Amino acid sequence: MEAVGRPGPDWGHWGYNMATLPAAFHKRTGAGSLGNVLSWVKGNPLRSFEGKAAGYRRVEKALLVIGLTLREMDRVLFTDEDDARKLPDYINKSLLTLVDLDKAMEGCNDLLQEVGLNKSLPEPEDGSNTIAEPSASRYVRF
Amino acid sequence: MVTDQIHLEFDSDDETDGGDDNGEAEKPEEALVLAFRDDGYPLLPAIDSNTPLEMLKRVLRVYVREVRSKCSSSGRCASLTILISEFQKLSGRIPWAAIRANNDAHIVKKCQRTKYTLDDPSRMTHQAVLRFLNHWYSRQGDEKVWPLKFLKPERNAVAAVEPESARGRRDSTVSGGEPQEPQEEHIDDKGSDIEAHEDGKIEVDGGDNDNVSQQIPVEQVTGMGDKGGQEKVAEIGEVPTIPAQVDPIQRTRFLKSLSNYGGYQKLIGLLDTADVSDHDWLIMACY
Repeated sequence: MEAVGRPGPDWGHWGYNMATLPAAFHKRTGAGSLGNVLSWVKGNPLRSFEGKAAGYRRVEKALLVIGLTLREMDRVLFTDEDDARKLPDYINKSLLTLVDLDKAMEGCNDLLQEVGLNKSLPEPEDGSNTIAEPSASRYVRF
Repeated sequence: MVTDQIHLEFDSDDETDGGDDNGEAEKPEEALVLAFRDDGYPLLPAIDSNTPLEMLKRVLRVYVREVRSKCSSSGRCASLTILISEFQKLSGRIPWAAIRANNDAHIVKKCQRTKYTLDDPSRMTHQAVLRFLNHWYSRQGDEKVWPLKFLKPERNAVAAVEPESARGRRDSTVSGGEPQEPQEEHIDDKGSDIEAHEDGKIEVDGGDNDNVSQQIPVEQVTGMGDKGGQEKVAEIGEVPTIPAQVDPIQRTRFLKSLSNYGGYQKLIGLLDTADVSDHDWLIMACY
């Protein structure tokens, strides 16, 4: 019997009914925390199972968890003051930093490697809105 | 094995596949006969800048129709998406307006042209048609995926798998062969905010991927009737911010909207080739 990996965060499903992630995400550890997400990603949620590649639903769920994580961290790190007032206090007081965002991106890149998409990330060209930052530091807005 | 000729035959029963045809569908036209690869892939004829514009447009129109009519019997379909339910109906008008509004949903990224939009051929410039046809022609010899996407069964679908019909080399006369359904196109340019990407960008079709081997009628998969399907496609302008409010048809767009980080966007490309069968149910239950 193959191992199936670690459980994902409890908010990582399509029935999640909040625009922001729960306060638990902003804690260092615990269910639903960023640490939980990183561990889950490290366990490769897209791993093959019984010789078969991850199916559509599993890929979709992994993307949902990673995407919501990146969006939440973007809010924590880059929301301007006016918009920040509309966010819950726990986001404005979140202790997550650029280092954490870097870790999330690294997890993303590791996953790419695991699934064999680790070749060079696309470079932005004219007309393309896809960016391939090597580090969260590139996200810093002035 | 590959036939690069356009066969011309006279056929008064021409297609009327939609959009703004400037009346060209009203008059009898010559039928185009495309050849097919052994795997069912329709083969474009060689064309060049001297090929008359009208011929180019007809080749493009026939090719798109032929992909649609033949793909159900082939396992070569590359990345299939629920966003293109109109295109997957196998008969009736080609939904050019929907294609124009969202080239990303209908064309494999490597087969898109950055500066041009695939549209009803009657609305396209000579250069635009030429660029698409030449590019697609250059890719068809290596058993690569079809330029046009087709039918991605929805997750959760417990659907009957259509048996693949016997494959083999065959020719087909395309013009006017399909029954016309009295369908109206409900889709306009609203919501056409999905940008065509550069060739090869975050593309993971792998060129020869055979993952998608199950063909399921989209109505069966989604529970949407014809009208419902059209309305759903027409609603793609806004993407909610809350997962529970995201219609299944918009999930990919929602995921794309979450982060612009290149690695993440590249991962989203996995959806184009992921197996849609339910073999994952056990592992999903554990996650």
